[in-house]
Amino acid sequence: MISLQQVEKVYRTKTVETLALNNINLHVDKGEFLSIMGPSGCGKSTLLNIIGLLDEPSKGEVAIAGKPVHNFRDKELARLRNEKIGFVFQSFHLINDLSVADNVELPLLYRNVSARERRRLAEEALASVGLSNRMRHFPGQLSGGQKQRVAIARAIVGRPSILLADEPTGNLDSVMGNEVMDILLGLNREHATTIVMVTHDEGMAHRTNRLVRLFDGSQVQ
Amino acid sequence: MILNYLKITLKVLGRNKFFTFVSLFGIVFTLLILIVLSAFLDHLIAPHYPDVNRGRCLYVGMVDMGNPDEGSHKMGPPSYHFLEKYVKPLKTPKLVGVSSMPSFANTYVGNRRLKLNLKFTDPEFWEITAFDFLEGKPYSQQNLDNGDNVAVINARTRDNYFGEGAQVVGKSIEVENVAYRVIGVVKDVPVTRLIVAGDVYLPYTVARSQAKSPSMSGNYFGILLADSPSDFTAIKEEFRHVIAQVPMPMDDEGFTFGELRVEAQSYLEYFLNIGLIDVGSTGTFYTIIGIFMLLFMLLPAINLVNLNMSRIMERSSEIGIRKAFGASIGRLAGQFIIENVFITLLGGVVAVLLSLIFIRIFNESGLIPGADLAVNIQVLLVGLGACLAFGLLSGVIPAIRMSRMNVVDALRGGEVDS
Repeated sequence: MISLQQVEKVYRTKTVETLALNNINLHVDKGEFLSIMGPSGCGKSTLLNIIGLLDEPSKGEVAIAGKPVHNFRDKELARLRNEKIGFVFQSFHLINDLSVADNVELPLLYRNVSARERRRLAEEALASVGLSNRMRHFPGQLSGGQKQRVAIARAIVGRPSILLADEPTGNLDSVMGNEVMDILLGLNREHATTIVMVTHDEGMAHRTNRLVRLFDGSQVQ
Repeated sequence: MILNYLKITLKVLGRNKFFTFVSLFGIVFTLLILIVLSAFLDHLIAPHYPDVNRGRCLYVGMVDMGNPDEGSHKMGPPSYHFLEKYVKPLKTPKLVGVSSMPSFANTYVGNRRLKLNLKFTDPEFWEITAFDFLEGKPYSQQNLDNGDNVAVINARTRDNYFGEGAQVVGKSIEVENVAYRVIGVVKDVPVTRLIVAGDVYLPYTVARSQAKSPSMSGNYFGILLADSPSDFTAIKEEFRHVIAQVPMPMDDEGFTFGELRVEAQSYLEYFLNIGLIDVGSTGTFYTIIGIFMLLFMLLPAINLVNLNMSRIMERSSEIGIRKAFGASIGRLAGQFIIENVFITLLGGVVAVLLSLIFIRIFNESGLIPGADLAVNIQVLLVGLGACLAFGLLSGVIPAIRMSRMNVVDALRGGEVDS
C-alpha cells in the first residue's frame, strides 16, 4: 500500500544542511497498522509528511497504492491525498470558524459530492466516533478528546484506504488517549484501513501490528 | 462549496472587526466614487428625460468651412438656414427637428430679475423628444404659420414668474419686452442636456436674427431621428452626399470658402468632436474611461492586497488543513478569490446604498438645476463590473501566493490550538 525506497530528506539553509531522513526503505501492507517511534527531532513527522504527500523527499521514491508519485503535479497529489489518505494531527487542526459538521465535510468539498450527501456522510462519520450530538457545535466548545474524535471523523469521512496519525494521543490524557486509540484500532480491524501512526507512547505502539524506530533520521528497527 | 466559503468569509470578517472596517471602508469609498461618477456619465450621455430617443438620433451641430488657400477656418453650429436647406429635406431620417443653442434673456417679476434660457425650436422638436406636459401642449406648425407669439415654459419658470404651481396656460410671459402666450408647461430638464434644456421654448420663427440669416453657421442643432440605429449609416451617407453637392467655392458673410465639412453624428460623437475632450471616437472615449476607472481602483487595491496578505497569513493553518485534505493550489486560490469578490460585493452593496443617498442629496442641492442623476441598471452594471475588477485586482495576488504555501509550513505556522 505504501512503499518508500531509499528516501532521503535534507533541509538546507544558507549555512546549515540537516539530514532529516537517511536512506529509509519502508513497505506498509494493506490493512497493516504501523507505528513509528523515536526521540524528538529524529524525523518521525518528516517521514509521515512524506508518506502523506505533504512533503517531497530530497532523494528516493515514494509509491502509494502502487503508484510512484515523484512525477505527480500539485493537482494529482491533491487528488491522491483527497481520495486515498486521511490525516489525524496531534494538535487536531480543526478550522475554528467552521462547525463540527462543516469540518468533517471538508475532504468531500474537493470531490463531486452533493451538499446533502456530504452532510449524510459527515453524520455517519461523526456517529462512528460517537459524536452525533455535536454536529452543530464549534471546535472551541469541545474537549481535547472530542476534538480529536472530530478530526478522526474528518479523516475517515472520505473512506480513505490510508490513515496517517501524527501523535494522535499526544495532547490527550490516558483515558481520552485510549478512546482515540480504540477508534483507530477499530477502523483498522473493521475496515482494513492501513494506518501509520507516529507516537511517543510505547504502550500505544505495542497495540499496533508493527513498530518502526527512527534515530537521527535513520531506521534502527 | 461556495456556501462553505461564504460561511468562513463571514466568520473571518467578524473575527477582526477593525481590519474588516478598514478593508470595507476602502472598498466602499472607492466603489462609491466610481458609482457616482458612472451616474454622472450616465446622466450626461445616456438617453434620459426628455431626450429618450437620443440613442436613435444623429445630430448636426458643427459646420466647418475652410479656405485652404488662406489657411482660414470658420467653425461653429449650423444656422437655421443651413439646416432648412440641407438637413430638413433628407429622406432617410424618420424626422428632422431643430433646436437652438442656449441663449439667455432677462425678464422681470416686479423688481426681481429672472435669467431665462431661451430655446428656439420647430414643431418636430416636440415629436422627437418626450417632454412631460404638466399643463397645455406644444406649439404646432399652425402656430408657426400664423406667426403666433406662443411659448412653452418649464415648471421652474412658471413657479418663479407666476407663482408656485399656478395654472398659467393662456397667460402672458414677457421676455425682452415681447409678450408670449403660454400654451404649455413642461417638467424641468437638467441644464446638462444642452440640446433640449430650456426655461422658455419658442418657435424658431420668433427668433430675431438667426432664423433669417443666410449664413451657413449660426446657433442651431439639427436632430435627426432614425427608426433604429441601424439606419445611421444610410442617414450619414445621404447627408454626406447632400453636402458633397454644395457648390464650391461659396461665399459666406463676405468670406469665400472652398471646403465644407459637416457630419451627422451620435450625441457622444458630437461632444467628443467639438474639442471638449480631445479623443477621436466613442470607442477611445470608453477605453479612456475604463483605464481611468482601473487606475483609480489600483491604489486602494494594492492597499487591500497588503491587508489581505496579513489576513490570509492568519489562516495559514486552515490553508495547510485544506491542502492536506485535497485542495489543490487552483482550488485554494479560487476560494480566496471568491472570498475577496464576496467581500467586495458586500462593499458594493453598501456603496450603492450610500451612492443613492449621495445622489439624492446632490439632485436636491440645485448644483445642477433639474439634475436627475440616478443609479439605474447601467450604473449598477458598471458598479458590479467595478466590484468584480476590484475584487480580482486585490484578491488574485494574495490568493496565488498563499495557495502555494508549503503544507507543512502552513500547518506549523498557523494557530494550533483547536
